[in-house]
Amino acid sequence: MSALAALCARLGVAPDRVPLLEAAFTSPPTQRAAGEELWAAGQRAPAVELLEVGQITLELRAEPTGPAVRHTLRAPALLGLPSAVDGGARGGTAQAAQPCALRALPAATLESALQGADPTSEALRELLLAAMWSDLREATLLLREHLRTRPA
Amino acid sequence: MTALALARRLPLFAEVPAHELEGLLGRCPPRTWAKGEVVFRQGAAADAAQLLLSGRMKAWAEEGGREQPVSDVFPGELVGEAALFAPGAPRTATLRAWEDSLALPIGPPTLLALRGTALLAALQRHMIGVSARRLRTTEHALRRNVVGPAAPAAAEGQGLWQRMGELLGRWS
Repeated sequence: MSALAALCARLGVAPDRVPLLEAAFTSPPTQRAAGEELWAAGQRAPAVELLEVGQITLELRAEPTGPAVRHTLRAPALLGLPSAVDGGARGGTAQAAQPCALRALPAATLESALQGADPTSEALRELLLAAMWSDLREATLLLREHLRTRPA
Repeated sequence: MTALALARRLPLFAEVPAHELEGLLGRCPPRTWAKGEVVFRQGAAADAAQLLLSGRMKAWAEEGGREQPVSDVFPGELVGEAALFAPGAPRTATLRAWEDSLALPIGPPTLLALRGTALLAALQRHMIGVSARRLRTTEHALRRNVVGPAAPAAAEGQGLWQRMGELLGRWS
């Protein structure tokens, strides 16, 4: 099963959408070596990216000079939402923790997908929505659990 | 005013042909909710989102035995969309009619039946815009709890901190 098919299965996107989505991620996978910086906090996200293989480490800071916390992300994962949709800046700095393969959905493709009436555009919107809603739901439940259990 | 006339007034349906809207109203007829009536309860299995055509609704979340207001819902807004992406999952809030209201229930089978229509494209675009804004609001709340002054001590040891950080990482 491809990384995209696995991601669709996890997000509940219908299996018949997978071939359309595979065709939309037109750019070949970009290979990144362990330790390579993928992006820096404050940069614009030029594309939605699919992490097909490997792990990346994210460094997050509340303030530019404040202490950093680090988190690891594993494939398969869709990266860059909502920055690619709303044009916002990257919230953290990413580095390949292992050799990684990423496939980009360029901004121009994303833009046409948001407006298009063809089946591929429809399937892309379905994937973006499923990814955003999965994250929103998880975030809502985590925040509630955190607020309920944190010390007074 | 008829449900069709109300639906046609909504900006999200501005470019949708009338026959597609008529088809939608025939497929999932709008329902009237009296003021105070519960549309769905927190914890119940999610089966359909509600597109509010008229009136006003209010979402409440229960925490520690107390209900807190979460958001107001106005005509043209879709609420309970998680039902479209995680059907059967427990609702995260209770929705009540705050005024007499008219709402269109939209479930996963409806979205499937709408494939290839301008109506589905309009609904998807609307939801993507709403979702992106909600992700930003949620991102700020998560960030306060992951990298803010009180974090990560408050969430450490519960696995919450790591999971919240992973979400923030995906959004970076």
